[in-house]
This record gives sequence, structure tokens and C-alpha cells, in this order.
Amino acid sequence: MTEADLIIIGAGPAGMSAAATAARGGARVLILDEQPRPGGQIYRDVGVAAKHRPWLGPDYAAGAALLEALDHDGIRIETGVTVWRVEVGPRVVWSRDGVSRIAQAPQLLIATGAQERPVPFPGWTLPGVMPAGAAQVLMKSAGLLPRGAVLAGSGPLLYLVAVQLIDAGAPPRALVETQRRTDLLRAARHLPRGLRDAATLWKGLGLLRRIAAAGIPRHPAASGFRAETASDGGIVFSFTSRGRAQRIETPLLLTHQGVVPSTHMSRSAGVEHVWDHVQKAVRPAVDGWGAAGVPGIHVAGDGAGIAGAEAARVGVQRGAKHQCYAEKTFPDAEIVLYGTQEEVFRDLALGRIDAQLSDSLIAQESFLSTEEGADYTFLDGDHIDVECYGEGVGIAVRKGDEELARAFSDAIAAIRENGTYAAINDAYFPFDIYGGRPEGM
Amino acid sequence: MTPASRFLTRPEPQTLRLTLDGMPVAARPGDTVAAALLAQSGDAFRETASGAPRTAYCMMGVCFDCLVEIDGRPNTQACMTVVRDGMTVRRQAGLRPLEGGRDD
Repeated sequence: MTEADLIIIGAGPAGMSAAATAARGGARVLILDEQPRPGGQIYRDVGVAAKHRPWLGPDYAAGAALLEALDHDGIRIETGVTVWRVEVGPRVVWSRDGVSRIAQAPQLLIATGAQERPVPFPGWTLPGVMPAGAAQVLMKSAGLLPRGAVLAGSGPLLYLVAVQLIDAGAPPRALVETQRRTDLLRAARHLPRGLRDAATLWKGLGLLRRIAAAGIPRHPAASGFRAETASDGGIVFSFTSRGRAQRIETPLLLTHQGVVPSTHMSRSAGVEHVWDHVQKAVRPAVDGWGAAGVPGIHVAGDGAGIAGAEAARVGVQRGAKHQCYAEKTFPDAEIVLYGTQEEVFRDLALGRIDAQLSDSLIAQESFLSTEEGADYTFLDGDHIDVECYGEGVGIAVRKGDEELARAFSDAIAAIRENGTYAAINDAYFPFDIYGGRPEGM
Repeated sequence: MTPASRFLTRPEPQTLRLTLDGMPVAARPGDTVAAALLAQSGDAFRETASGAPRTAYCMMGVCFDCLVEIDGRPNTQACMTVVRDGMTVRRQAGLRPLEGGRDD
């Protein structure tokens, strides 16, 4: 039997950080991990891959420092093991190569992280359909690059994988996104903790902008996923986007709908679990220190709850129509009010707020096109709400002059139809300034 | 027909050799069996009890869809096993008998 002061299950970001901290404080630490090498899923194989695969990006390479901190006399790390029993004591039973061993310590930290939320739909188990995170594991650990992949689902990880693939010279064939545009902001905070920087990373690297620059087609508001096997073994992926049936062939369909805490270990340890309405997942019930209600057992990292618990901060100008809309549309967000629009942009640049809501033209002219706004991106512009924004803008004509009004309407419809509007729009704006129409108009 | 790999070929040298149902498969040191098989072809790893084709799915040891027989040991997770030179891998069709326990 092995004795230690602290046993940590899981050598991901949380487990590695905890081990280094405890060892610096003089504790004898035993880390157990099921993977062949430490790093967890986020920093999978960071020790060997960061140098050879620069397209994985700087946030991945940053994990190497955590790995180096494990090189400490007080830390013993066992990889490739299966932990199959956690007992009160706490005692941990683990095995490797058919031999079981017992480890005991006054304190046990469960840091087993997160797993991808499975995305079931017809055909989801076919060879050629796989979660985007699984493809990332292959990219990190084996240097395997998905060939002509289609990325489908929602959340920033899809964008991150898309940009990594673009940088690696294997751009995806299309992005098929289930979320509506207003969901994006909420999704930004539902990231694994190790990717917490991704809130900044997402903005900082301008992922959406780079996907657009690479010419990757995006299909928004998609639903009705179905995968079938094509005659060449590829996948025929069909779905509906904005009411239109679509069909794309691809060797590999990569799906993603966020991550959920991995609870196998905390459940087997007898920890109480609760349903988290914000994350829409089951997670262990822990206090602010990660104490799990069972003597000697704590839970840390994504296993204790994905970083989504923290609310996004959205800045708007006080009293303006945007305050009305922000409060109505982002109930989970913290709405930060400002006297002037200039203050909103200033705090966005300083990182005091995560996003801001204003007229798109003002955002473009006063912020995005300036040096301060260079690292930011426009999320999307179809925010339509009669109560807050009214029915829109129009051209005034003399009362009763329906002929002239109709002439304007026909002219607008005609240039929308023949591409003239888009050509002029694109010459001046990186987004569609036409917007949409309220329901029934 | 065996579908082509769903992944691009890698520049890194593949110095290890294993076999899949008797056919040679090249692998890179440090690869998992699942990665080596996925780099080789887009084919299924196994068939379920009802004959449905399956291949590696989660790549992190959670889903058990990548089960193969490795060196005579059935129901081994290909995504959790690192390749060794000379490994013998076989696809599984249908259920395996359970092993282990007192008499093993």
C-alpha cells in the first residue's frame, strides 16, 4: 500500500496545479491518471506536441509550464492506470497491467475534468461521426488532421477547432451551427476551465473573423441533423438551416454541444450530486472550497462544474433602447450600465466587460475599425425587437403618395435581389447592414 | 471496399508495425492503437451485438466504442492502449465472452 498526504485523481490542469501547490507546501502527493501521459484533455500531450504542432495555438503551449511544475521531489505520478474504487478513509484502489494496488492518504482530490456532452441524432454512431473534442485529441496526441471535415453543433470550441484546422492547412468544409445568434454570448462562458482564457482567446484571436477570411461556409440556426453512410464510406450529412434543407458530403462529421463534468469518480466516492440548471448537467455538490461533504474528499476543476457559472458582463448605454433589449435578451448576463457609449468601448478594451451591445454601425465606426478594437469581432446583427427597437427605419414620403413609396420599395427589393446592395454593402461594411424585419412585417 | 482514412497522412515517420486482422499497419511511437487504426483507414473497428458498425468515438476512454482484441485480449480500449511493435489487433464482431473472476 502506498501512503501519501494527498492523492489526486486526474493529471489535467486542475490536478497538475493542485499537485504543484501542495508539493510546494511540503505535502507528499500521488497523482493517478488514466492517460499514458499527463496533461488531461485540454493539454493532452503538451509535453511532446507543443513544439511540433504550433497550429494548436499559444493557449495550448501554455500548458507546458504546468507540466514542468510536476517535476518535484514531493510528487509521484502514475499514468496509464485505472482507478476503480474509492473508499472512505480515503483509500483508492487502482490497477495497471492487470495488477491492483491500494493507496491511502488523509486527503483525496478528485480532478477528473469534463467530457463532451454526447450529441445523439440519427446516424451519430456511424464510423465517420465523432465529437470535435475527440478529433482535437487526435490532433494533439497523434498529429492526425481531419480531412475535409464538417463541424456541427454550437459553442466556441467549434470555432477554435476550425481555426486550428485552417492554420494546419486542413480547413473544414463547413460550419453548421445550431445556436441562434443571441446564444453565442452565453456559450462563451460554457467552456472548460482550462480554456477559460478562451473567452479572451475567442475575442483575442478573432476566431470568427479568421473563419470568414478562410472562406469557410457557415450554416446558422441548423436543426434536424441526420448522418448516413455514402457509397465511398464517407458521411452524407443532412440538416435544415434557416428553413432550407441542406446536404453535405464529408469524410468526417465532427459534432459538439459543449462539455459536462465527468462524474464517474465523484459518484463512486459517494458524493452527493445536483442538477445544474445553468450548465444543464449533473455535477457534484461542493462548497466554495471544493469540499464534497464526504470527509477528506474534495473536487476541483471542471469535474466540480464547468466555468459557465460565472455570468458574462455585457455593457450598454444607460436608458437607451439597448438597455431594454440587453435586459430582455441576456437574462443570465450581468448588464453593466454606462453614461456614454465611449465609456462602454473603453471598458471593453480594458477587459472590464466581456461584450457590449450598441448600433452595429457605431460599433464598427467607433471601435472595431480602430486600433483598440482590432482584437474584437462583431458577433452578428439580427437583433430585432419591436418593444425595444421599434419597427425599424424607413424613408418618408408625402402622405398618400403610395406610388412613390412603392417605387422605393421595389427599387430596394430589386437591388437586394440582383446583388447591387450586397456589392455596395461589402465595399464599406464587414457585415450586413440591412438587418432583418420584425415578425409579420 | 475499405474507405480511405478520414485523416490526412502524417509527415512523422511511422516506425512501428502492428497487424490488424493479419494485415500490416504502420504506427508512430506514442500513438494509441485507435490513432494508428484511424490513420490507416476509415473502416469500422467492430460490430455491435446487433451488427451495427462502430469506430473510436470519444478518444478519451469514456464511451467504449473502440473495443478491439489486442494480443488475444478481447474488449480492450484501443484509444487507451499505446502501440507496441509487433502488436496483434483483431476486430470484434458481436459479443465477446466475459473473462476474469476467480478462475482467471
